[in-house]
Amino acid sequence: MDKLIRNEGYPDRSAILVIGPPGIGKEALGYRFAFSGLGRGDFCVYATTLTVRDVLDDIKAFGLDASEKVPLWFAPEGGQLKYDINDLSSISFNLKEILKKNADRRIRLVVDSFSPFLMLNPPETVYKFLAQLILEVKRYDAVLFGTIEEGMHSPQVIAAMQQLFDGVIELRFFEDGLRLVPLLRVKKMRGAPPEAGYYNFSITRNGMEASAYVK
Amino acid sequence: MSSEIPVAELTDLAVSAISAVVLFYAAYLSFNVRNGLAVPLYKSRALWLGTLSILFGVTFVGFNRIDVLFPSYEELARFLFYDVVVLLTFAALAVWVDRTAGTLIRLDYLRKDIVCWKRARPLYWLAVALGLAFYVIGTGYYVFGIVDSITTFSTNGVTIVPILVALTYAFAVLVVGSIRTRDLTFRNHAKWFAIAVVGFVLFIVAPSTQIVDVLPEILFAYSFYRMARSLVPINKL
Repeated sequence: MDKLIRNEGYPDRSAILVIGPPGIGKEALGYRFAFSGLGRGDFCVYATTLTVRDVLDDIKAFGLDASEKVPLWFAPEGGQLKYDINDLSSISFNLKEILKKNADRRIRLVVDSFSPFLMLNPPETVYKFLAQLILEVKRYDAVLFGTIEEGMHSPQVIAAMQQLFDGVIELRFFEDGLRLVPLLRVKKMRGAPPEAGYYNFSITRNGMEASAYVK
Repeated sequence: MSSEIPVAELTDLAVSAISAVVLFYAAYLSFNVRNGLAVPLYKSRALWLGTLSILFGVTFVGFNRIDVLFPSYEELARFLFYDVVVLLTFAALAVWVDRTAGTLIRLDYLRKDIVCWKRARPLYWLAVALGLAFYVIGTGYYVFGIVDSITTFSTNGVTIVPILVALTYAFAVLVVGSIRTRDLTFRNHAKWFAIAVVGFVLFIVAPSTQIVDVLPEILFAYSFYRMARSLVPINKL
C-alpha cells in the first residue's frame, strides 16, 4: 500500500477514507495501519462498533500480534472508552480530548466504520461531525483512517463523504466478463496526482499485496 | 430414448435444465465473491448461497425429471434421492431463512424485531420439522407402495400446510426486514430472497401437469441469480 501511495504512505495530518463492500478487507487495512503505528511508537486509537473481543479475533485471523501492544480501544464493550454511535457529541468530545492529551505524539486514529453513523443519524449531522473531527486531526500530528461500506448508502452520500477526506481508496468488485474481480484504486490522495489505474490485491497474513490490473 | 419421451416432458426437462444452469451460474458468482472477500463472516454467507444454488440446481433437474432421465431407476435409489437431496435442500433453505432473519433484525434501523422473529422462531422450526416429517412419510409410502402416489399423501391439503406456514412467515420476515433495513445491498438481497421463497411455494403447490409448473422454477432460479449478484455491489470497469 505504501508503494501505491506516493511511495511513502498516507500524508501527514490527513484523513483517509476507504470505501468497499462488507468483508472485502477494509478492516484489515485499518488493523495494519494501527499496528504498524504501534510498532513505530505512535499513539493509536481504534474506534469500532464491534466488541474488543471480536476485533481481537479478527486481528488474530489476519496474522497480527496483539499480545504486546494494543491501541486505545473506543468500543461498545471491552474498551477503555464507551463507544455509542447514537451519541455523536460524546464521540466527538472524547476524540478531541484524546488528541489534546497526546498532542506531543504522532497519533493514528482508526474509525471502523462511518456507516453506522450514517444509518442512525441524518447525513448532514454526520458531515458536520466529520468536518469538525478532520479539522481537529489536522491541528495535531495525526492521521484519521476511516472506512465506509459500499452499497449501504446512496451515491450522493458517498460523494459527499469523499469530498471531506484528503485521500480516498476504493476496494470494489468489478465484472470482467463472467468473472468477478476485487480491485483497488487510489481515487484521490493529497499531494499525489490523480491515479486512474486499478490494482489486483490480496490480503494475507503477511499483509496486502497489490499488482497492476491488466484486462 | 428421445422417441419414448413425450414432447411435454422434454419441454419440462429443458426448463429444468435452464433453471439449473442459472442456479449453477449463481453458485459460480457466489464462490467468486467468496474468493474475493477477506473477512470470514461474509465468506460464509457467499459459501452458503453458492452451496444452496448447487443443491437446488441438482434438485430441480432430478426432482421431477428422474423418471424421464432414468425410466428404470431402482425405487430404493429414487427414495434415497427424494429423501436425502430434497430433504437436505429444504432444510438448508430453512436454515438460510433463519440466518437471514437474524441478520435483518440486526440491520433494522431501530433494531426492532417487528415480526416477532425471536418469539416465533421455535414455531417456525416446528413447522419446518413437521413439513419435513410429512415429506419423508409421504415419499416412503409412495416408494414402498403403501399409497399409490406421492401426491395422494403430500398434496391432500393437510400435509403441506406446515411447510406453507413456515414459508409464508419466512416471506413476511424477509419482506418486512428488507423494507426496514437501511443497508441498500442487503435490502436488495433480502427482496430477491423473498421472491425466491414465493417461487418455492408456487413450485410446491403448482399442479405438476400444467405449464404453470415450470414458471416457479424459472422464477426461483432467477431470484437466486439476483441474490448472488446482490451479495456485494458489483461495478463495471
